[in-house]
Amino acid sequence: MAKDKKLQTNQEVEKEQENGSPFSDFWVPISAAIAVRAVCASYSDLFEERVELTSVVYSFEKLKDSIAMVDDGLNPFEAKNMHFPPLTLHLFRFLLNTAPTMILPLFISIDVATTWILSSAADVVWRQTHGSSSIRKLIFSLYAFNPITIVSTGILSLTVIQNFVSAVILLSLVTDRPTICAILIGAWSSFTIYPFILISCLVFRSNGSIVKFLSLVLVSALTTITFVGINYLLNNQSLNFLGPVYASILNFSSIQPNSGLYWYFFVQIFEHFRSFYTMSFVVLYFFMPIPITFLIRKDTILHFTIIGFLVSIFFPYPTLNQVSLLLAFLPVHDVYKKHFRYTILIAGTIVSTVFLMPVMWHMWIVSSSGNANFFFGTTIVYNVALINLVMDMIFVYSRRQIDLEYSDALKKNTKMDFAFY
Amino acid sequence: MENLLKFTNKKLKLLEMALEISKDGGTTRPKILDKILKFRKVALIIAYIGAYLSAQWLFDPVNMEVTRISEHSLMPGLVTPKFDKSGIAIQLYRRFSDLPKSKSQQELIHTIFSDLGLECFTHKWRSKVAGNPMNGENVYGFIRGPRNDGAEAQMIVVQLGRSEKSRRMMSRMLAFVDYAKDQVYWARDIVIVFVDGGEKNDSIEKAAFALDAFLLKYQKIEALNSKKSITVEADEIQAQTGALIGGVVYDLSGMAVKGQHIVNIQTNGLNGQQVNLDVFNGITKIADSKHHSRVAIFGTLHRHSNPYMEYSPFIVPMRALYTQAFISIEGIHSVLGKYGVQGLTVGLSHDYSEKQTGQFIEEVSRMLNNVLERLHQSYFMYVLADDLHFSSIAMYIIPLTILVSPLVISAYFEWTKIQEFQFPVVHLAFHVLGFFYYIATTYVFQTIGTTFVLQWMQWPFVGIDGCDGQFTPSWSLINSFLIFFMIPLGPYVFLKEPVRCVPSMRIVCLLETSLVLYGICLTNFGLAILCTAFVVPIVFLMTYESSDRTRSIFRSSVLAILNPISVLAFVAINIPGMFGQLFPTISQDSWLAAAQSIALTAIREDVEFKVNHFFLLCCFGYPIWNMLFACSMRYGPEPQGSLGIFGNGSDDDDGDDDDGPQKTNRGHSTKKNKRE
Repeated sequence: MAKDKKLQTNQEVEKEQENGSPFSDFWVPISAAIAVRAVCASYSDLFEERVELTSVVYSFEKLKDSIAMVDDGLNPFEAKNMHFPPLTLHLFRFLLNTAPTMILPLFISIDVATTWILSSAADVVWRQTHGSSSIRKLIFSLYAFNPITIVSTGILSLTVIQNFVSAVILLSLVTDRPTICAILIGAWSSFTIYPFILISCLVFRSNGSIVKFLSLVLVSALTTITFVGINYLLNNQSLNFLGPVYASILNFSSIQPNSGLYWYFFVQIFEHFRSFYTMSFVVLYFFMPIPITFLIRKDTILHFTIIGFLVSIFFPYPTLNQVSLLLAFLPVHDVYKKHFRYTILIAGTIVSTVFLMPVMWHMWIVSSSGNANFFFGTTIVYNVALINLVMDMIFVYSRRQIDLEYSDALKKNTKMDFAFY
Repeated sequence: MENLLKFTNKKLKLLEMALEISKDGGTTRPKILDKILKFRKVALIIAYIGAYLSAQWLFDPVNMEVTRISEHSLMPGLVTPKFDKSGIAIQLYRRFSDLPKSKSQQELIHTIFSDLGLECFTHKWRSKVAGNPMNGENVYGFIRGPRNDGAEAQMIVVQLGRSEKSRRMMSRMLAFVDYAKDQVYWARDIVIVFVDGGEKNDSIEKAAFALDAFLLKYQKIEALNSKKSITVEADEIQAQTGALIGGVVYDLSGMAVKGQHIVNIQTNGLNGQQVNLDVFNGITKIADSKHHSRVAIFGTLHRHSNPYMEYSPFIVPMRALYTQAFISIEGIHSVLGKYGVQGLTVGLSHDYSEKQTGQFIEEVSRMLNNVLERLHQSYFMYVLADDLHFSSIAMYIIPLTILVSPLVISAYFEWTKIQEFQFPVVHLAFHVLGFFYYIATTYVFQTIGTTFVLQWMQWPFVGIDGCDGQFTPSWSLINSFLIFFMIPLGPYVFLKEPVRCVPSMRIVCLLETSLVLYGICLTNFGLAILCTAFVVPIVFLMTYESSDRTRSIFRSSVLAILNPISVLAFVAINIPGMFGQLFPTISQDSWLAAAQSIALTAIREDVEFKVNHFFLLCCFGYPIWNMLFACSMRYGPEPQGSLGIFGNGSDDDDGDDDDGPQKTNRGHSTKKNKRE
């Protein structure tokens, strides 16, 4: 009995060591995360106009402009570059009028909550695959102390809220709560449309039942419709917000520089080809999840990560912060680590291009020693690196399946002739 | 036939290599990379030799591109000049010379403009920088273009002053104004600014600041950002014209030797910006074909046309690089680039007659009068060898790439050996600390001055200097900064808490250094190449793997001395010894005085003009220097790379013969460590 007690005590000590103290594991990192965001906010004027960190649909400055139009009795949806749905407008108008000083603490809280939710989701996955919980701290640090997330919170980028929703969806997915997932995907889609393809992840939470999956799609669609209805009511029962909010995303009409793929293309293209390419890009985007879902059937989390990357890469008005959540979540895919082929190449490219974007912008806009090609060059290489990452993730999945299924036949020197990509 | 066979074999081999790459889905490392890694140990020497040879070839004017005017609209500068107001210029010179002390030059200029029937205003400004208080009063006027659509304008700048050259230049400029107001061909308004630079030695910097204050208001920077400038307080501009496309600063700093006029042209702006090469070419052509004058750049004449002395063809490119790197305010024009205005300083020959000066200004103004849109053709990034030859970025980036390559190769070598990458958190901490130094120092210089005290509530403290509430004696900002900046925190931090994976730290240091150098290169090549020449060997040698105790102590000690400011001070003091009279030298001859001078200049220029030297020093130089200690200090044995002719081990024989304490075995997250 005494021996058992001793053993139990040892186990508890080990468990405590594994978990660490709440002070060092919880309060210190969270306090640090809050502190760096607060400090960054005091230097927000250095970053708030950086096109890599804000875009027409995530810029708080543009949101304030739109709210000012509402305050002045003007219809904001008659303005050229107004892409915020009425719900966002009225919610932030209320906050700005009632508690403007609370907006920064609110954004900081949301971002820190995102960090916590993300690390919790990673923890759940890690426990399922490895049986221990050593990943939590790492994921927390990767998101909380990523300079891009810090700066984005400091400048009150709306991507902070997007990342929060994305983290909650991820947590719901890993804890097997498909209905919450469907509702959140529907709600989020009512703001920017593109996240709707995340619904494909729920195929793996439908227990093989097509009826259940369709019912989840229906729940998601109904949520979207509900939010559109709320927007309709808030907009004085007018549907004139549909064009600026939704059509502008589907037809890439706002072609200001950003870190995405499309702006430069649509600046350069002849007008009579525009509709063809618009249709092609939209169809391609909504088609992409189908083959990926057919291929990656045995790993829901990897599937979610890939689809999440696609949402971020192919969104017409992205910012660098959109992939922060998914990049921080990558260490969870530890089982595939040995098969990744271009880790240093992709990591080096992403870091280099993020560093070079402000340099190229300076060359183009400030010193005139470069032109738009310079900036676009870095953004396209950045996006190619992300696409390479997605392709590498698809490759590692396939490679691991071969290992699992043909492990008996494989020898150390077996050569497999894959295509280069 | 034999040749054809050889060629086919060669192609087949290449194809074979390509197929080799694709085997196993590309998971096998391409052999070419293995071959490159074999040369890692000698990469630094090869890179230095390669960079030297390539620079030797690239910067020889014989191999450079020949300048030409790309913007055809600039060609109308080559017109028949008709300026004929020499008499007015002489009269005005007398008025400036006889100006009573009770009347300022600004008032006289204002009166002259009014007499000519032109708009003229004064513009008072004051520096809000506590560390370098200044104030002054500019005068500006307009010549309205009859064919102007109001969209664009050009700018002419002259510095006020009581010296003979200044009086001559002002009077000639006003005579040109008298002439130009009657011409009908102006398609751009001309803004003429007389900037107040004072009379002291530092008048160029003050005049540049005065022009900066004018442009800040003219370009509506504050109105656009809805934020007040923290460095300048100035009057609003009272009349406006179009966007400034080009600006020329005139003075009489040129020379005449045995009847040969020499025009002195300065082209460098802040942070490596340079004037559009078309503007330089246009003025060079005007000087040469219309005035038979030679053009001197960086104080040096065209090598091929200089009958007075023999010198190396590399002197001008070297001076161009040095000036671009370290001389932020080369002339008053240097601040123009900050506001998107293509500008340069033209030092006309002091022996030019009034007529010749007026005609020169007329031709340059008529050249800029025809620019159709913002200058965008031709080159913004170039290194001049003389007035006829230049090297563009596509060429001059080659030596820098070669020089940086050892760092990239080393980083890749570390990556091939590493088994688990652990991002060192201390990396971020040092950057935050460096940024804090930057913010704190510039804040104190901006708001308090060059000396400061810590202050508490007034009662009951009465300070040492008698100041109420003074908590400490007065401290010099520069000395405090130098103390904090030059104390190596790295050894303390890494002895106390060794990094868990030294190779990860090496990769981070090597890649960050490469990236920063390349980033600087894209905006300021001179700074990048000169930094690279010193930084690359330091970073390469300090990150080289070695568990030998003596070597680690030795190189860590050397690294402690090689603080970025120490290196700069050392180079600054020893310039005459290293380069003869090639570069201007700083007056201080003690090491400490040089370091103080460098730090003060960097801080002042950062606050006043937003020159990024100080930012780079604090936010990249300081963190990288400190992080290098993690690589240079002693750590346990690490696996030899299985690659290359110099490494003969494999990843499996790592650390098994480790006899050092576990705490110092930080070479890798080895399999042994994993087992533990």
